Formats: sequence, C-alpha cells, structure tokens
Amino acid sequence: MFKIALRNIFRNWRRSILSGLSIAVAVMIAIYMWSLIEGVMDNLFDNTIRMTSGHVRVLNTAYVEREKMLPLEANIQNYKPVERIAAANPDVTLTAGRIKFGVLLDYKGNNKPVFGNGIIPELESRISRLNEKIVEGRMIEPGKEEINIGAMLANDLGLKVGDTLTIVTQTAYGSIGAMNLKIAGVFSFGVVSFDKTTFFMPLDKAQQLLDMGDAVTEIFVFIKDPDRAPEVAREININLDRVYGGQYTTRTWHDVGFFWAYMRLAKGTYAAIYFLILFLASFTILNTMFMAVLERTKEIGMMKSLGMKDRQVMGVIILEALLIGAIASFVGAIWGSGVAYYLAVEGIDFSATFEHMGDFKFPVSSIYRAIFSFGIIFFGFCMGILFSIMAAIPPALRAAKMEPTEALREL
Amino acid sequence: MNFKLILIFVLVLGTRVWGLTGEEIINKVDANMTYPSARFESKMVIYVNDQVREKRMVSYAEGRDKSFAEFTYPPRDKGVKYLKIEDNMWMYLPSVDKIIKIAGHMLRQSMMGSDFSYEDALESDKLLEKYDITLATQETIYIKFKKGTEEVTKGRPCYVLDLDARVKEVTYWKRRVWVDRETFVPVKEELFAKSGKKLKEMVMGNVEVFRPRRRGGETRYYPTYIAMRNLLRKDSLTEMIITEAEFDVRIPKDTFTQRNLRK
Repeated sequence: MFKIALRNIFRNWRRSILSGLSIAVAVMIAIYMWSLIEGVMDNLFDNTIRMTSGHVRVLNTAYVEREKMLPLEANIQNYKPVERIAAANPDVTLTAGRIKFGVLLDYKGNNKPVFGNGIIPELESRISRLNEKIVEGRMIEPGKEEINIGAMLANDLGLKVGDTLTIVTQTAYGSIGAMNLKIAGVFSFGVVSFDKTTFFMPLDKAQQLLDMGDAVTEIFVFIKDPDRAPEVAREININLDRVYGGQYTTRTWHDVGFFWAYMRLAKGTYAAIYFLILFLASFTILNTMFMAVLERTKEIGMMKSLGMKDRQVMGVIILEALLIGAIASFVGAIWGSGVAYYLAVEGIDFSATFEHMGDFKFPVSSIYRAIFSFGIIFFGFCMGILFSIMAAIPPALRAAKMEPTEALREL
Repeated sequence: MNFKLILIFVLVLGTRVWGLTGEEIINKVDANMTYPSARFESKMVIYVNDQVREKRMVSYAEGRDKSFAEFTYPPRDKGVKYLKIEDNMWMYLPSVDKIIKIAGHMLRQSMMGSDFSYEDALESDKLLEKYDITLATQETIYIKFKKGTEEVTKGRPCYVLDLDARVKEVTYWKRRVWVDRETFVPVKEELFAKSGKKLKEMVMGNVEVFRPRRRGGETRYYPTYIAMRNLLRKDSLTEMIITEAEFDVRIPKDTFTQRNLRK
C-alpha cells in the first residue's frame, strides 16, 4: 500500500510539489509568526509586570478597593517591617517599596495629566530595568529633585534633558503639593502607555511631595518562579495577618485583571489565525487529491474489482496525502525555525518605523525578538500533517464509495 | 356641568396665571445670589473615608465674573491663591512660585481635594443661557446630613425646577433645583450626567439675612452653608461654611489681577 501511495505521488510530481509547497509555506508562516508574536507578547508581558505589578504586590486593604483612584491615604505606613515580612519568604528574590500617583505636569503653560512612580533608583535596575531604557541623559539619583520622563511625553511637551518642569498634585492629606524637578534623563520602554504618560522620581522626594512620611502605596515582590505567585502571595498574606490583622493584603500579577484577560484574548486570536492559514493551505491538498481521485477513477475501479477493500482504497489516498503533508511540513518547519531563529537572535528593529512617525526625535529601543521554541516548531509540524490528512478525507471517501463497475465504465 | 368646567379651567390655568414660571424663579434666585461685591471668610471641611480635613480661605468677589481666593489654613496650603476672571481660572502655588492656568481636563478635577470641581467653582454663566427651565412641582423638603450640621433646612416649601441643557458644552446635562418659596435661595440641587446618572448632590442652608450696609442697598438672604457630595467618590462630602460675609464692600483695584496672585 505504501508503495502504491509513493508511486502515486511521483505520477504527477509537479502537482504534488505544488500542493506540498503550499503546506510548507503555511507551516513556515505559522511557525515564525507564532514565535515572533510569542516573543513580542512575552516582552510586553515582562515589561508590564516589571513596570506595574511585580509578581506579587503588598497593598493596604483599603487601597485595593479604590485602586483606580490611586488613594494615597490608603498607604503602608512605616513600610520597612512590612517589607521584611514579605522578604522573609524563601521564594522571594527582591522587594521594593513604591508610590504610584497622578499629577499634573506643567511646562511653560502646557500641562498634561500623567502618572508618577516614586522609586528607589538603586533597585530599579532589577525591577523595570530603567537603567537600560534610558535613551538620553542618566537615571535619577536618590535625594535629588530629579525626574526621568518617557520619550514620547518629552516629545509632546518639547522637553529636553536639563529642563526643569513643575508637577502639581494632591497630597495624601488633600493639600496641594508641587515640586520643580529637573529632567535627568529620558527613557523609552517601547510601550506607548509607558513612554507617553509616566515618569519616575526618587521615592524619598515623592514622599516629601505627597506628605507621606516614610509610607509607600505598594511593595513590589519578585519571586523565583512567577507561576508560583498565587501560593507565595497566600503565604505572605498569612504572615502579614499575624502581625497586622488584615490591614494589608497581597495581589498577584494575575489580579491585574484587564492585562491577564488581554493576554489570553490576544493569544487566542493569534492561535485562530495560525489555524486559518493552515486551513486555507490544506485546500490545495484537498484539490490535489480530488483531482487524483477523478483521474484514477478507472484505476480505482480496477483495484476494487481485483478485491481491494473500501478501507484500503481510502488508506492509499490518505497515505498519499500524509506523505506529501509530512515532507512539506518538515520542509516548512525547517524554513520556519530558520526564520524564527534569525528573529530570535537578530530581532526586528521597529525603530525605523518610529522614525517616520512625524517629528519623533528620540531613538527608541524597540527591537522585538522572537522566541525560538522547539515546542512551537513541533506543534507547527504536527498541525501541517494533521491538516493534510484532514483535507484528504473527503476525496478518499469519494474514492471508497465508487462502484467498481461504474468506475470501469468511465473512460 | 358648566360650573364644574369653569372651576377646572380656573384651577388649571390659575396656577399658570398667578404662579411664577421657572424662568421667573431662576431670575429671582439670580438677583438674590449675585452681588456687586463681597468679601467672605469661609472654611471648607472635607470628609473622605473617615478622615476630616479642614481648610480656610478668604475670598473676594465682584459680580459674577471676578473672584479671588487665598487659602490661609492648613500650613501646607497657606498662600495657595485662585483667581477667576470670567471663564478663566489661575492657581498660584507658593512652594514652586508658579502660576498655573486651570484649563481643559483639569477643570473637572477636584478642587483642593474637595467634592467641588474647579468647574463648579468657575460656573459664572447664567443658567438661563444654557438650560431650558421648567417648573416641575412644588414640595416641602427636609434635609438631613450624616456629617457636619445635623439639620440644614426644616421643612421648607420649595419650587422644584428642572433644568435641561440647551447647549452641548455642559458637564451636567440635567439639574433639579429646589428653591425656597419665601427667600428664593436654592436649598438643594441634584446634578445629572447625560446618561441620567446622578453625579452630584448639593444642599444649601443656614440662610442668614444681610441688611444693606449702604442706603439704597438690598436686603439679602444668603446661604452660609453649602454641602456638596460627589457621588462618584465613595463616602465623601464637602462642607463650605461661610464664617464671615460682607456685601457691597470696597475691593482694592488690583485684586483681580495675575500680579496679585504672586504678591
């Protein structure tokens, strides 16, 4: 049977190669697209976690209820002992107190509502990796009235390193707080929401601006294995409750609701696209096999009258498709992994794209890398074969249903 | 039969002929609430999530279009000044020695952490220009508060006016105002969004009678207590209490200037 199938492939080798080629290309596209998108998403995911939540966050219980309003008064007073409780957990690799607050940023009469982050500059290289994202100037230093702003924000307001701007905000006690800050550096995370609407200033100066003493609004906690966040959060919570009796609570990155939901939705959508590509490519197999079946009507009739069973007829057809599909998928997988490997090592530089966006002057470190995963390649390969087989089923059924006498008559 | 018809006719039309229309009521309110000039000392008490914050200020106003306010307490806010001229508003921050124009998105934000927005404070146009006014009903209302003054108005008979926006550029698409029938002081107001959601609730009370200081002046009924509740903020209330009020006072000429902000 295998011999028959193999022979059949070469009987019309041009057609076989053509249909094989379409499967190979589809498998290649699916693999490299998947690798790239997975890479971009992982990058975005990593950035977002590092910027907005850490793996686990310790918060005031009252803060959680009104988080959207950034309620500064629901803070963690005297946060060091609280931080120590979280840091004592064996899974924890890093903890850092932060304040997130809303301000009005004013420069020469232009103003903009933006989000400020009070951070400990020494620790930030291990959190948001701000030091690597500085595209001009340098990072802020503790104790100084300095600020790092996003490249797009700087561009919008016409700000340069060395300029002094004013931020106006409401303090934790509802008073008006204002401070003049010198721009020490400009950063670019390559994520619009960060680069357009956020800034960093030293935590100690933020506490002063906001009348917060030594309080913070959140403590970021990083752990060895991000997937263990829920368990670690629970353990920290139990230890906090023992001392503070429900005053503080923990949240994991899973609880940053919209983000988690968005990630799942986006991955689902892309998965549907890969399937669609393979599905469309499989039509060429469907077509090829139908042609083959029609061409060989007489032959099939002959084989049947010689005693070949329906199942065996189907088997021959499907085997033929399987062989084409397997070879094509293998080729496609090699191509796809080649492209994915290139994209993983070299990355795609999107900064050229940004340069054409109006008068955008700052160099943007927006190289996205694909991830190179054997899982994705193997899955792409299997999907290619699977779709080839599925596409061969309708023509195979048709061949099996042929009446030998009828088939023989068709000449 | 005829007699009954006439009776109904008289009853129905009677209210129209001898009562006041919505517009007339609003005009009376306007006349009472606007003044050529005034000086106020007041305090603002903000209740948010079991915290009470008090602020004090001195303010001057000339007509509807000009006002100036300087905060005197707490120390953190001392020296913060606001200037309003017509539709423009500026804020002076002594800590950074800077004048900031309050515009755009900032107008809808909370003023000094209170339930009032800058826009609420700025509102200077006559309501008649922006809203269609209808007299909905008349009722006697009692107003009670959870915090601060226990009872503001004791069962006052009121006109209830419905205001529907005629122009698009308004924050509140619909307002419902209760106006005291005797003094023409508004005692309660509800503010609604386009969707019909109630955004804010305000009551005014402790109406005091201000006799004219000069001959030919008017006797004025002015509420010395305003409570505003921003319903979008959870469990929050702001009281404005006028501790001292003087009407028809002389105000130095350069009061309403940006230069005065920096002084």
